Amino acid sequence: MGFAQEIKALHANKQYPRFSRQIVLPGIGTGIGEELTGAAGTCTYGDWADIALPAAIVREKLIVGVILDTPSVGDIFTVDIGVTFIPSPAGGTIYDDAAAVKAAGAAVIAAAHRAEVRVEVATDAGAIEMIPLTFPVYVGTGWGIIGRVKTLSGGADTIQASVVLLELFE
Amino acid sequence: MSLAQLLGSHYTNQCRGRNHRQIVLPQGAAGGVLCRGAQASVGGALSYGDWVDVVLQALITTDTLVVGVVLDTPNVNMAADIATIDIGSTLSVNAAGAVTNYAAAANVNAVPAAVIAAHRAEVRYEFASDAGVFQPVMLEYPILIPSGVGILARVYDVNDTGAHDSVYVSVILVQSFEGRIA
Repeated sequence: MGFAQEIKALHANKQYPRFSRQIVLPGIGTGIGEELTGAAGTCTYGDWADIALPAAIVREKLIVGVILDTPSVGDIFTVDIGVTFIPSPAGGTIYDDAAAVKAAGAAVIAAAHRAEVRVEVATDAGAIEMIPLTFPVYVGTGWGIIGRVKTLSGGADTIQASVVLLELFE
Repeated sequence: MSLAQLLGSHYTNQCRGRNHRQIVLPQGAAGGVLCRGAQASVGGALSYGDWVDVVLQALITTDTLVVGVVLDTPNVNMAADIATIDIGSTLSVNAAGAVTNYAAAANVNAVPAAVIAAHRAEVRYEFASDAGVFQPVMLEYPILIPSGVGILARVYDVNDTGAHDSVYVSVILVQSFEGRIA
């Protein structure tokens, strides 16, 4: 089935929910989000970290939401979700992982960005609900999913991020 | 573009999931702008305060959709209160059809008709204190902000104490983006 057909199926699935499934990554074996660490400075992104490696993305998906857990402190967190595929006039490059994106330099680091979300949390004592994306982010087969974080207070605060994905499933 | 065409375009993009990015503004730390909301204060109980600038015109360099609102740091007077937040734009059309893109919130506040015309989307939120988790409030249908138009916010609440309660407002935006490098 081509992707156009998959899209049509996903359209139909909103009314006839038979052909898709929703999954959360990182998946079983981890069970919690990937830890993201901000830079020491206020409002400065830390490095990208791997939420799902390319090998785990064996078919096209849509990121439809972000789940955050276990903030290290009370703070205002801005989390950025990205992908390891960077298009270019030559067709683009799929980087192996977050470290490879970082090693490729500032232009690639910036281009990996796809969806920011922001939330204030006071402590690690409340319920942080899924943050839905109004417009899903496309993830092609063999692309990795990465995340990074910045905070109002800085100080290398951490939070853990998972992504909610939709994929075709019969 | 008619409303039906606009909704059709949103629907198509929702399924394709390509060629766009979601950002949250304000951001930075440059220029004193932090990665938190812009502070909006109420005008009194059940009375909107002035519009404030959430995103200045110069930062909107492409057509943009507002898809959600993030609130943070309600002040102590906002505890156990219900706030209604209005998201607006600096673009105003008067009864005669004349279009004015006001430079900033202060310019909108100076024109009573523009204050009303700036209104685009209200959301409502109950605060118990500044000790919880403030989930983003997503809009069912996005607001179009054309290139070069500023984004504003204002707020009113139920229990204003006279010290003028306040809350910080960020907006979640979607823009065209392909992530392409040279």
